[in-house]
Amino acid sequence: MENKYLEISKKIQEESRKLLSEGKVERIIGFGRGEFTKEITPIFVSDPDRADELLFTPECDMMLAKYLLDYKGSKTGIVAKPCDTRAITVYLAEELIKREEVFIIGINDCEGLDDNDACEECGIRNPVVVDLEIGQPRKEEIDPEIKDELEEMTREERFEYFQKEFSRCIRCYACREACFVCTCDECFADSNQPQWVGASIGKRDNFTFHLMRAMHMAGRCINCGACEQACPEGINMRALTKHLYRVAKDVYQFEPGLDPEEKTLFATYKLNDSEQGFLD
Amino acid sequence: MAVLKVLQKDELGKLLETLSNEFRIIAPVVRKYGKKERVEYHQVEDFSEIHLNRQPDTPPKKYFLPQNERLGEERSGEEVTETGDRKTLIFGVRSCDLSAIDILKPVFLDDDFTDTYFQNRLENTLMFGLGCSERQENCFCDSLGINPLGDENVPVYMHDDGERIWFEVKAKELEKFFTEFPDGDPKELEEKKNSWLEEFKKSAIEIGVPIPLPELVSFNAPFWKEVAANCLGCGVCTYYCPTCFCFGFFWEKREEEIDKWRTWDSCMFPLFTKHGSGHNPRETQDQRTRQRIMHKFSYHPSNFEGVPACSACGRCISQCPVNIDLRVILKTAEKYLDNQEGVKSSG
Amino acid sequence: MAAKENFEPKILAFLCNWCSYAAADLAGSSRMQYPPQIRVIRVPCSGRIDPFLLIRAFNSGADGVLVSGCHPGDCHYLDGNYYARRRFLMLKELMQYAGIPEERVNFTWCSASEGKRFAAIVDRVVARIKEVGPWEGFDGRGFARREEEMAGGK
Repeated sequence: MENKYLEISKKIQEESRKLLSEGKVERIIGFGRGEFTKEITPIFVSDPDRADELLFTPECDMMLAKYLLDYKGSKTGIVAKPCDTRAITVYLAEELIKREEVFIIGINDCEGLDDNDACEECGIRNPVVVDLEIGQPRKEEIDPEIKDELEEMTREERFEYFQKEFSRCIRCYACREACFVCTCDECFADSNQPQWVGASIGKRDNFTFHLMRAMHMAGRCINCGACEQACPEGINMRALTKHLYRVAKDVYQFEPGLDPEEKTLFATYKLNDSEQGFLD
Repeated sequence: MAVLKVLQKDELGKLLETLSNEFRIIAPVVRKYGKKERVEYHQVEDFSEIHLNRQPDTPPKKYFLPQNERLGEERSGEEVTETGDRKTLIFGVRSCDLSAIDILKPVFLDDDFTDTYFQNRLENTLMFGLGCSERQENCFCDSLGINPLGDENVPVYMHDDGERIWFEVKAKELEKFFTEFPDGDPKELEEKKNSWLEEFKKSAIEIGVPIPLPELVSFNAPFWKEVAANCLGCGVCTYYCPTCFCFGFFWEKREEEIDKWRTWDSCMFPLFTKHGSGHNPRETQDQRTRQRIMHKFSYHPSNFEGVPACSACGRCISQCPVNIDLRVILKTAEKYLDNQEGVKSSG
Repeated sequence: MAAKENFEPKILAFLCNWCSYAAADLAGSSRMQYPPQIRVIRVPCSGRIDPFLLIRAFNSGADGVLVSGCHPGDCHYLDGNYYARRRFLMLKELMQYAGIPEERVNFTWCSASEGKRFAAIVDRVVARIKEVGPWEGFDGRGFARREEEMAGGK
């Protein structure tokens, strides 16, 4: 492990131990390592003696913010990458959690994670909301382009591309469960009255599922790439949500998860909103 | 006595060429999706694609129990039973997946009720086993008493020693495919097998949990909340499991006809147990994780002669988006049960 | 693909109760001619239309959809159509990016007095969808169509 990450890990352990023993938080949600696999796995530490298990490395690609929803009503600490803090910001904007119930241990100057393409397109390298900062904040701002890999394709080619991608989908719903935006009590995919998508797995229903999923993400997805990381089949479902992220940014100058006071895209409007593509 | 044949790796294509005249060949091949490289079972036409070097990411379960199976249509009034079209040959099935099929057999081929769809597929499928010469990513079959070189119940068993592939041909009717290839020295193979097994022993972990898990004590144990705390609730572990067989029935209207489907289901989904009334007996994710483990290690072995519904292939560990480890869960259960007096002796 | 000339599209039209549905009424009672291929669904407000309904329409075999609400500023519920406007724009972008021809997804505004405009819009939408031909479904397998539909209506 690089020195930088050793230092970050050490600091996280130190601070967590302090927070837990002082009783400031009931538990810390963070990253740890598996006993046999040596892979990163989310862990929940409530005993100060176990604080040493916490760590941070560039392999920590899970979004921990979603676990906060399991612990409403008690003070929870969370080791948060900048994207996690954006997720928390979306939760705050949607009033899903209370600010005073979370203690955010934010990691400054995030250099991106291993194997996550979304990180290259992310311009937020310091936590958006934070209670305790780890490391020095990054000074210079960056505004990387959100790439469109399918730009060159014609409409027909894109349709075929998505058909092919989604045909591999086994509807395990890992993308849904890994996504912090997916907080519905009952998912449309599980509903059978009305039945939005068929329960059997076919090209038709898979495509519908992914379209509906992307539509649900619009204006809330922060392009963190968790869905893609979770997908066991390696389906490029982020292409759809990423496109909507790009559109929201271009058309409405809206990027979710930057300001807890700002309403999400569909929860507000402007009188002079674009009507691009409407029949006049 | 089995006939022992040795093939150079480049001769494999020749063998499969002749086999493909009679069989539809399914074998592990490499597929690249974006940055992800996977080994999957597919029907192969180009035999140079076959990849035997590691455990396939997907189990061959789908060739016996497809994820989506059309059982019939409402209009005709009679059930359409699929009769196997062509015999299928699944090439290079490792011990874990072979024993997984054996685990499924008593479930679908019960004396009182036989699942004809499963039976048809089973009868029309041959499997060529493949021994593991090294431990795969997260597997622990030896800890559950499965032999990584276990060659029972297959007509042909293969061993890959890195350069050549050894074929133990046990079925008389398949010998004709192998006549042109040279015989192998059984002693040499025996030595190789022993050294492979030695290697396995070195990296073995001990799973000392009683099987079946004592039902009441484990069910009420407090550790489920802890081991399932980071579970997201997706169905990856069950869909990639070679032994998970739960399914649901659906009637779906498409245009003018109504089809009856059988589709995989997963105990990890809340909808799995949700009643029509809206009540859900397994309301939280730790209850659902408990169900998965208890089914595999308690209910199934209680019902089927002590055999757990797990072949320890490790796919649920490798594929889990948050890397939940089945071995850790079993170890936790073991530790807990050890501290519960009299549990082990009373079973 | 079936011959485009004979193709009579199925178009789902979601019309808001207060403006566009009244416009359709007006067009009807004023004996204005417009193509009969739209199936009207009356909704209380364009803000009520869940984008899922439109995606589901395509999954069920609609060749196209038309959504029409009150003009911005005229909403019976003050701002329902403002919310809808954002949703529809995003949906349109999504559908087009996923490869569904934009001609199939139509949004417009129509007030209660614009019977003439409504007839013209339907004219346009039907022409647009006829241009791109029958919708073959997300799997490209197509949908069963009754013969008379293909033969040009009754």
